[in-house]
Amino acid sequence: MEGSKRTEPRIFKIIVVGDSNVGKTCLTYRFVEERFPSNTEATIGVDFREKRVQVDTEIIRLQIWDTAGQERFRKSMVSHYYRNAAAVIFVYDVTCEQSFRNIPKWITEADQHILHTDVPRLLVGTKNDLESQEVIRQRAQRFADANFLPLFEVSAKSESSQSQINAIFLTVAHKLKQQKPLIPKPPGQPVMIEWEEDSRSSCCG
Amino acid sequence: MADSNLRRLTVELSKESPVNAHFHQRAPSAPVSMASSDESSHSRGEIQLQKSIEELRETEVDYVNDLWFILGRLAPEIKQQDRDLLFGGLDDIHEFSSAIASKFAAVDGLDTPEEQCATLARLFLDEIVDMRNVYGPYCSRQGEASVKAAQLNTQEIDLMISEARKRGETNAFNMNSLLIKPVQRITKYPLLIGQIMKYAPTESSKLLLSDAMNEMKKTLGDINNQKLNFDIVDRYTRPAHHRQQNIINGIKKGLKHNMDRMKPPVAITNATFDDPNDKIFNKEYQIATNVKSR
Repeated sequence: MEGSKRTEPRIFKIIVVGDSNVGKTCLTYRFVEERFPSNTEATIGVDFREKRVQVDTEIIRLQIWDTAGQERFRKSMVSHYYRNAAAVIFVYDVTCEQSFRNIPKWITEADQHILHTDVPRLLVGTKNDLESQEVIRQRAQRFADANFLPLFEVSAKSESSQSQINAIFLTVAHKLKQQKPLIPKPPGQPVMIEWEEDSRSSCCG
Repeated sequence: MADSNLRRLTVELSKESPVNAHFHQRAPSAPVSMASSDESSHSRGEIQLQKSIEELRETEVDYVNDLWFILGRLAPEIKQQDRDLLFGGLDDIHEFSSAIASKFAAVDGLDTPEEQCATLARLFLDEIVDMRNVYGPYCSRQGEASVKAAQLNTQEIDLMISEARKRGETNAFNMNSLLIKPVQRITKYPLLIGQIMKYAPTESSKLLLSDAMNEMKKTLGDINNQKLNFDIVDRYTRPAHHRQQNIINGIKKGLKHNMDRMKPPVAITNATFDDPNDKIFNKEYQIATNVKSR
């Protein structure tokens, strides 16, 4: 019985969190379908996506849970998304300051629900093809470094980002395979964003 | 649970919602490539509108099928004593959603896009009270149900689900991803309505849809509060042995958590171990204060 189980690919649940409209669905769509959803394609109604990836010699099944539309109900309705999550991807929109400022809240929330420190976490800035960048790379990098999060900046829209987006999920898959934290995280660092350099109003109202 | 009833609903639904047939009959009348440049923007809007309505309609059918799968296939595999906790209220949701899916399908037969939009908007406005009544209790208890589901040995069931997934019968992965469906569904209605609203042909239909969207958001806010209240009540009324176990688990978790992370100590965070919602609230409060003090 044990033997037959081992031939089944291992399954990992990944949750993608962040403010509404930062492009979480498009990001996972791009990874799973390898393209940007066309205007006429259903993206709202689909809750779960799955992709098999090969890491070294092992096939791993990544199950990606989409919270699209439920971000406003964080304190209660979204909480059970975290159950058994093997990895968390935090997403902000580089053209939306507020979505970046809210990342610590998302990290804190994840911390409350996921008690294992070895759950890989990543930070992804989306829409970096757009001109109006509000969150500059260096600032995001400082924040990411302070919180031991690998940082990726991508555009789900541009074809050239495909390999980068694949890289995000492959990084996760790789770490999941080894079951080690992405960046070994020493205990006790605060989650903070540097506010001082920015007094601009939010793009999100 | 009246299984035969459920089956009948599902069968009727699939019979009377030839979703694709309707849509594809309509589609050729909206010229895609042959449109003259004058009409093309109008036609594109119309196509988008039809696609948006189609998304609402088809995802509802998929959703009803998922509910049927839970009630008709999963539930019988689960011990009687666990069924209420896991699936309580789902039969009501299934009945409600089957009915609403048929109504969505009927919208497709209407003559003008304006009529379709207005009818959909009114449909939501009419159903919203019932929707709150059937979804509220389920969403409130969903956290508890998923805890229960995690305790069960569901290997065989998960295998069954994954087989069904391969056959395209569901896009869920396991029991928990099925149980969360109603929570996902109801929170998507405002998004789906918003998408239809974007392409609504007239101001009056936009206005109606906007009303429907706002009412839906309000209802979701109510359900969310209902869940918060439920969690609080549950915390104080749970049987003592249950609560004690939870406190023990909470302390274990809390200790592990603290040792793992050595979080900056905050008095209120440590006050309650057993309610994740409290902890989130407290931490959020803490962050908010930190931010202010900067």
